[in-house]
Amino acid sequence: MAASHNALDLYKLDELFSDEERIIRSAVLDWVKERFMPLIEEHYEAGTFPLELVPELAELGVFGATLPEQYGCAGVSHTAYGLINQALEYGDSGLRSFVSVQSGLVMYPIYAFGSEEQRMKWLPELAAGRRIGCFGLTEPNHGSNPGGMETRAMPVDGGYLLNGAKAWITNGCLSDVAVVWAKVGPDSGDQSADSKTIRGFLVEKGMPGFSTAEYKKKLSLRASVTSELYFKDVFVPEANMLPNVQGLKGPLSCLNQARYGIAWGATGAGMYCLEAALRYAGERSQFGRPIAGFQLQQLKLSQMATELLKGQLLCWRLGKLKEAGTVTPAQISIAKRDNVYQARECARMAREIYGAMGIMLESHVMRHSNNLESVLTYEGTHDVHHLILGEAITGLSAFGG
Amino acid sequence: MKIAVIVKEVPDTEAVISLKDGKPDLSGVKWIVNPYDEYAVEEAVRTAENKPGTSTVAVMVGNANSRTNLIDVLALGIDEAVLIADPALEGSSPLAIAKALAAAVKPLGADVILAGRQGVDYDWGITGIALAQLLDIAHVGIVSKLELGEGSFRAESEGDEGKLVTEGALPAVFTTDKGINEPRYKNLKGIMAAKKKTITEHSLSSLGLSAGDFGVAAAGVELVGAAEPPKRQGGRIIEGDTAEAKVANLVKLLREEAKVL
Repeated sequence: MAASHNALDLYKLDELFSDEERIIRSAVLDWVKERFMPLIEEHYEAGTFPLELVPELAELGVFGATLPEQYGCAGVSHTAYGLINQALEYGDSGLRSFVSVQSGLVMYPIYAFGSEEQRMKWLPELAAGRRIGCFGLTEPNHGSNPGGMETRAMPVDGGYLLNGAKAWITNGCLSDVAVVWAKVGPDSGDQSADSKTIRGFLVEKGMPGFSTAEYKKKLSLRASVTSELYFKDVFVPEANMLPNVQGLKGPLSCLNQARYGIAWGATGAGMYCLEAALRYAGERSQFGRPIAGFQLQQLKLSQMATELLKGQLLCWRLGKLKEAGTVTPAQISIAKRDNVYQARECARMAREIYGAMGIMLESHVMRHSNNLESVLTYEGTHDVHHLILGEAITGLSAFGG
Repeated sequence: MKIAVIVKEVPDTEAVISLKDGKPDLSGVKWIVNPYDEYAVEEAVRTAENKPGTSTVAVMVGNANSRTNLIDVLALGIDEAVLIADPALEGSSPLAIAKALAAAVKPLGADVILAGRQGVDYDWGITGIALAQLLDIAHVGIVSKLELGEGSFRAESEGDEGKLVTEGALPAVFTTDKGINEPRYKNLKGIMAAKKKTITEHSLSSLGLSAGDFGVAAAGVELVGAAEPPKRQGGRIIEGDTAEAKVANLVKLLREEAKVL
């Protein structure tokens, strides 16, 4: 059954989307409600991702959805891709993360920077969910400053020897292929010169010297696998290097894809929380009447509804700019930062409206709130995104001291 | 083989429908494809997948806003669609709707016509049967299993007292029940493909029909009013420390208050 968005569509935003975009959203949302929601509590508690649903996600067509049909993808608009992320994160940020990584951080760089041979080898397999990918940029000592990365690829006969480690990698342990960014050649002592040598490598599961380890005991994104990747003299053949990009702009352009999806996704988590809080406040009576009628609860509901409305408008405009090909990293950064922050506020307010019930897994709102703690600082921390906008409007960079 | 699937729009089954002036207030309600029709659509798509050379067409009586739901049906794998939209259709009886459908379906030359057993709005369950009558072909209702041969069919219908098996010659109308199949989820490729499919629009006049035979005035039935079911009264918890004491109290209340014993 198609979900009704009408009651909370305060500005008739639905009219901004094409028939096709609305149908895509409802197709994914129906799937999330009927197939994913019954499983999430169990997986969240166990700290596992529902891998059994990957074939269904592939059949739905959400992996690399914007890429062309010739690679087994659906070729949807960027706005539709945004709505897909919104519908997925309505379910769980971990579900959206899984799809974002596969699409924006693995399939996108292979499509944008890979050879035709690499595209044909990997994209149809990744689109069909027969292969899973991850993206290795962040390192244990280098998060907000990726240019400082220590992972090195030393040229050898027929390829490169990779050494280093990557941290906080979504899907790491599940992956058949890792898109790993490394500096080529020996350390020259000049960080900025060395970052110009950054290249992307397709490191395959089973390559000798490549290993992974899973982060356990997370209090957030529990239904998502987060890993460390280790490279010890891993031989990567020349054919596995992405030929068409060099320098930090490679990984940063991938992050723009992923951040765009996150900006949309966060509104989905917020929507779930608003719908749930409204329903609960309408059903829960105290002092002889529904708590939805109390001013303090209405303030929270009104704030949630207002911020979600604004967040969706940001996304819609961002989608149009992306489709026009003029979108800037700073524009994406604004929406990623504020939408995630506001979604976390929404989730926290929903949890408060629920009272004691809010802490229960079955209420889902604190799960969203906990997840959004990760989303707030991954793909560029909240603070760093302020600095990106700061630089865009002042012309002065706060990075590098 | 050609299959026509009759689909209609109904209010979202999740929608809360209130009454206004004694009539259902459907303003602002989201319209969806009738759930029983989803089984008919799935049956048509599966048949087409299994029988090469089969073509499928969806036929809907709707309005100018019905295209979205028809695209939905096309996204599930139906090849093309026909939309009959005319302001004069507003408030028509199921029989009148069947007349409009018959006019649109007849020239299609369909071997098999599938429709949901009933709409989940007014639950008349008439349109499919009337359509068969108007086309002068067989109808099998509440179909839970359908086997199609060359020019023949074998259909199973579940009844309260057993299973009815009907065999006959095509063309025929089958109205589908739950259980005939498990409707698939739409997928992105199907939705993108739907964009390129044809939706042919008809008005009553383009079907050679007269507007005077349709609408509230010609319906022959009138909705005079609707009322909400009485609200449930609060329950009562039977007091007592032990099961025996509770039973004793229950019997006392049934005898003295309810006066049923």
